[in-house]
Amino acid sequence: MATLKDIRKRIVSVKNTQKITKAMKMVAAAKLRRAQQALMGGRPHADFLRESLTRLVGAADAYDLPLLKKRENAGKAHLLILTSDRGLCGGFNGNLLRFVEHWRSHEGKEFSEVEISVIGRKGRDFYRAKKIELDSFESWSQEAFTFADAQAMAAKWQDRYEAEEFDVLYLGFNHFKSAISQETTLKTVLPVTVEPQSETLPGPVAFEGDPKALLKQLVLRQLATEFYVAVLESQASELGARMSAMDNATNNAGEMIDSLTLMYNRARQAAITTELMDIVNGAEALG
Amino acid sequence: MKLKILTPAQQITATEAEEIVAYGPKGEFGILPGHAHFVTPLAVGRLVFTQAGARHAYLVAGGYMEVLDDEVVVAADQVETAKQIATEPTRTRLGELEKKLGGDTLTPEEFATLTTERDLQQARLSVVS
Repeated sequence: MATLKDIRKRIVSVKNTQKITKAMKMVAAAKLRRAQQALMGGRPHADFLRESLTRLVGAADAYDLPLLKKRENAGKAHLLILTSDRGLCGGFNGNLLRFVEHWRSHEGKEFSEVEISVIGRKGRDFYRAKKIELDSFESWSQEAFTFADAQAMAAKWQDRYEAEEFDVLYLGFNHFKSAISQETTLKTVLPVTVEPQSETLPGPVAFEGDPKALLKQLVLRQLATEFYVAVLESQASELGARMSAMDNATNNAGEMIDSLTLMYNRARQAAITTELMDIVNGAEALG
Repeated sequence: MKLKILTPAQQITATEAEEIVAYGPKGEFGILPGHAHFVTPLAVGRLVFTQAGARHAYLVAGGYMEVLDDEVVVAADQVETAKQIATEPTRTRLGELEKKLGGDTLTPEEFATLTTERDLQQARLSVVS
C-alpha cells in the first residue's frame, strides 16, 4: 500500500499539472478570441470576391481560363493538409489525418496518383510513422499568417498546377464551427471553382486593360483568399481544440486530486487507528 | 453612392460617397454616381472620397475595384488611413531612398525594390498632405 508520503507527492504533482493545463487553457482562450476576430474580419472580403468573380467571369464568358477549367481525365491529385506544429490539442490533427486517409482509400482511388504535402509538424510525424513519403513539408512560421503569405502560396501552387504536376489540388483542413467543434474538410482549390452566374447585369462590363489578364489576377486572388481563410480557420480550430482539451485535462486532474485526497485521508486515518491500537494494547499489557 | 473598402483581413469602411478618386494602372481616375459597371486593378496610390463636403483620404495598395449599380467596392491588399501614417519618418525614409536611387551602383533588382518602396512612401505622403 502507498505510504502517506507517496500519496502526498502524487497530489502535489497532479496539482502542478493542473496548474499547467489551466494556464494553457487560458492562453488558448485568449488567442482564440483574436483568431476568431481575424476570421470574422476576413468574411466581407471573401464574400465580395466570390460574388464579384462569379459576376465578372460570367460577363466575360471566361470559364475556359486555364485556372478555372476542369482538366479532362484528371489522373493526378495532390493533397495539401494543414495540421498543427504543436500537440496537446485533442483530436485536432488525428481527426483530420484519419479523415484524409479515409478519403485516400475511397474517393482517392479514382486517381492514378495521389501525392501529399503537409504544413505542420504533426502531419509530418503521422506520415513518417506510416512510412509514406511526402511531396513537401513546411512548418508554420512564428509570425502571424498574412495575406501576402497566402499570395506567395497561391503563386507557388499555381505554377505547379500550370506545369501539370497535378490535375486537382485538394486542401484538407479543420473548418471552424465553434470553439468546441471543428469539421474536417477537404476542398478542391485548383482548378478554382466559379459558380455559374445567376443574376442579370445591367449592361456590359468595362474592364480596365485586357479582361482575361485582369480575370486571371482575380482568380489568383480568389485562390490566395481560399488559402488565407483556410489557414485562419485551421488556426482558430486548433486553439478551440486545445482549449477544450485543456479544459478536460484540468477537470480530470481535479477529479484525480479529489480521489487521491480521499485515499490520503483514509491512509492517514488508518495510520492513526493503528497507532491508537498499539498504545491501547501496550497499556493493557502493562496493567 | 455607396463605398466599401475591404482588405483580406478586415472591412476598413462602408460609407456613402459623392465622388471617389483612385489610382489605376494608367493613373488617377474618378467615379461619380451613375457610373457604368466597371472593373479595374488598383496601383499603389491615394484613394480620396468626398462625403457631405468633407474629404477623406486613404492609402490603397494592390487589389481591384468594382463599380456596379452605384456601389463601389475596393478589395485591396493593403490600406492605411491618414492617421496611421507618420509624416516625418515617411519623409525621412523618402529622402534616404532618393539618395540611394541617385547612386549609380544599383543592380536592376535593387533599383526595382527601391523604386517600389519610393512609390509607396510618396503615395503615403500624398495621403497626409
